[in-house]
Amino acid sequence: MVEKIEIAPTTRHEGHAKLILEVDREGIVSKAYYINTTPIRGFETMVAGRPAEFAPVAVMRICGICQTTHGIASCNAIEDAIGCEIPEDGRLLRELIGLGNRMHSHPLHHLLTLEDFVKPGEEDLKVDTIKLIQRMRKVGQLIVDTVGGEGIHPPNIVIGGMRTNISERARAKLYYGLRQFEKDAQRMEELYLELIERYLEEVGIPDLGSHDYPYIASHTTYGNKEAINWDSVVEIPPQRYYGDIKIGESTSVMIPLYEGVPAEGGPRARLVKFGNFRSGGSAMDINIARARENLGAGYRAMEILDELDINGETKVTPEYREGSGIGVHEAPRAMNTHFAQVRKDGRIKSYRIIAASNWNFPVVEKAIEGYPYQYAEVIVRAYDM
Amino acid sequence: MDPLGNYKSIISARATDKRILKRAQDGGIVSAVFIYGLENNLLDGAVVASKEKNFKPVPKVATTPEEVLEAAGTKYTVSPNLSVLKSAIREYSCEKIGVVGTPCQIISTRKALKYPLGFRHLVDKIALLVGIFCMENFPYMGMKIIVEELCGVRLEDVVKMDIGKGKFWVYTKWGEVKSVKLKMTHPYEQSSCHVCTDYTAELADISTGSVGSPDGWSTVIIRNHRGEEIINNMIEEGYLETRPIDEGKFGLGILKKLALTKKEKNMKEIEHRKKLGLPVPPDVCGLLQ
Repeated sequence: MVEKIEIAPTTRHEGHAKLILEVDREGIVSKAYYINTTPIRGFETMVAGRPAEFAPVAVMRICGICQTTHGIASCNAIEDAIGCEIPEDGRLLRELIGLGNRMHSHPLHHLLTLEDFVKPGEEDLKVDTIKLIQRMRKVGQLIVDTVGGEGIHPPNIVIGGMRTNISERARAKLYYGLRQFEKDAQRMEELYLELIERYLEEVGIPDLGSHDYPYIASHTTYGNKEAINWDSVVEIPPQRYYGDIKIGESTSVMIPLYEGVPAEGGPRARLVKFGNFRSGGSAMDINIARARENLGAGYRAMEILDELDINGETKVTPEYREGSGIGVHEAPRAMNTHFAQVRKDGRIKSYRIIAASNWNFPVVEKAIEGYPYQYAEVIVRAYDM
Repeated sequence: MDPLGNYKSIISARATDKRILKRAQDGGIVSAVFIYGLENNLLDGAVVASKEKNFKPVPKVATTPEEVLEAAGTKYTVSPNLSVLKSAIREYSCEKIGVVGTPCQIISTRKALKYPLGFRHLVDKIALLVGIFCMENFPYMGMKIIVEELCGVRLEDVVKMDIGKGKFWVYTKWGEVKSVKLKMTHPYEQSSCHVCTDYTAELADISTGSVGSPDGWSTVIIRNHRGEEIINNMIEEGYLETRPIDEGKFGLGILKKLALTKKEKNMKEIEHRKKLGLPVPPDVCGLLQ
């Protein structure tokens, strides 16, 4: 007999979603639906017909956490469409602010998953870890504040580059922040390795939440549209993907597929594609990959501070012409892609977004299937969306 | 009506640094205060009104004495200084900021400090507010008309502008001096200035301007402990030389008179607007009770 379990809403992750599980007699999930219940927001329609400069400003409002990545992907897409090359220092600052976003978003995910791995009686560990998380997030937020001109919806990300460079003082301040971040990120990774090893041991399922779907990632720290075969990217309506009208109609997001199948994006995907991280393991590996990415982000951010010429030009004045382009940025959760078509008069003709977390919705379902239902939410949280 | 707002003391002063005096409008108080602050780590940035070609004002975050010097001198037009306030704490990462502004800009900054909506991390980073005396201001095109049409001088030839003795003065690179009666410039004023009742930047830590002091000197109104400390230290360390303010008709007398004129004249305009059901500014100087 198959039993149906519905968890709505699911908690301790970003965004809004519900989980529908079909569970067999042994308590194993035979079919999982992870439904994004965020209402339609219509950004793509909103920007159509409006001046291109409006697009990055508007689409940053898609998310309260990943505004930076949407701003970057949007500018990249429009610049690609009009053939605009941004100055090297502008590009570096853009990468830096994207990393700042990652450096405050990743620790936030740790905060949400922490509860899954600490046990009653370990309050001290929990408090210490939360303090660690807060300190790390502060550095990430400082980078976005400083480079972006504002911590939330940073206005310095503009078509043509970055509105302004940073001062020598600011660079020094970021440097010292990053030094602390590096130490904290190291501690965080050690901690998560320990916690997750213990957790999997206690659960007794070393490959909890594994799946054999491919990974999708374009770059480790920024985004590279050349790394992806765009002909292989399709989005299909959920009705068609699930073959179930009722389920399909309960969500407003499309299902993206790479080469015909779902693909996992995010920390693990990036570290597998561009590093030597273990592929095909437990979904808990993603938590570890995320902790490791903090370190990489800090490292790269330091490098950028060295490479950056604080007196260099950061922006060119864009010349609008007709064209279509793709902008890719590796958001904390996965690859974030914006497609823009620009008209001759510099207005948006059409706009499409495959937001980062969309990639992982169908993958989460596959990761949950085949494992005891009790762990479904822990697997969801490993992906954090 | 209280003409000058709250203050602890009023003096006449001027900078001792010749570099400042050469570029400054009068006594070079604002430049001297900021340079003193930057050189002694009391400030690590100052929001100033610098200028580009043709007297085009550009708000700027100055982090060195040289940048402060570049910005010296009055621009008789609008410089939206508060627009870079956030940059000072973001892209410039300053933590002890000095701000110079007209009375309206000082009021706005005080408001931003009181209700820091949209000004995250700002409140504890403003170290000093320096206000400048202001009767009214001109939009850029208004100033351009006064200089180019009324005085007949190209803006690019101008080195200094001044208001005094009832006239608007223009000094050119070639040593010529042109002037026009202040009365002629009234049509080019900003209308918003006509509902402002603050002449001496009453909410600043230090207010300064030429009125009330001899040529080459500035009147300095020290309004609170913060302002007093910095001015006293500057005098002690030789950054400023001082003389007692003239209590008579051409000193404190004229300062109070002008401050009162602005209040009374513009109160009338406020009452007039109220009668017409038009919006009026909030009662910052406590005159409307």
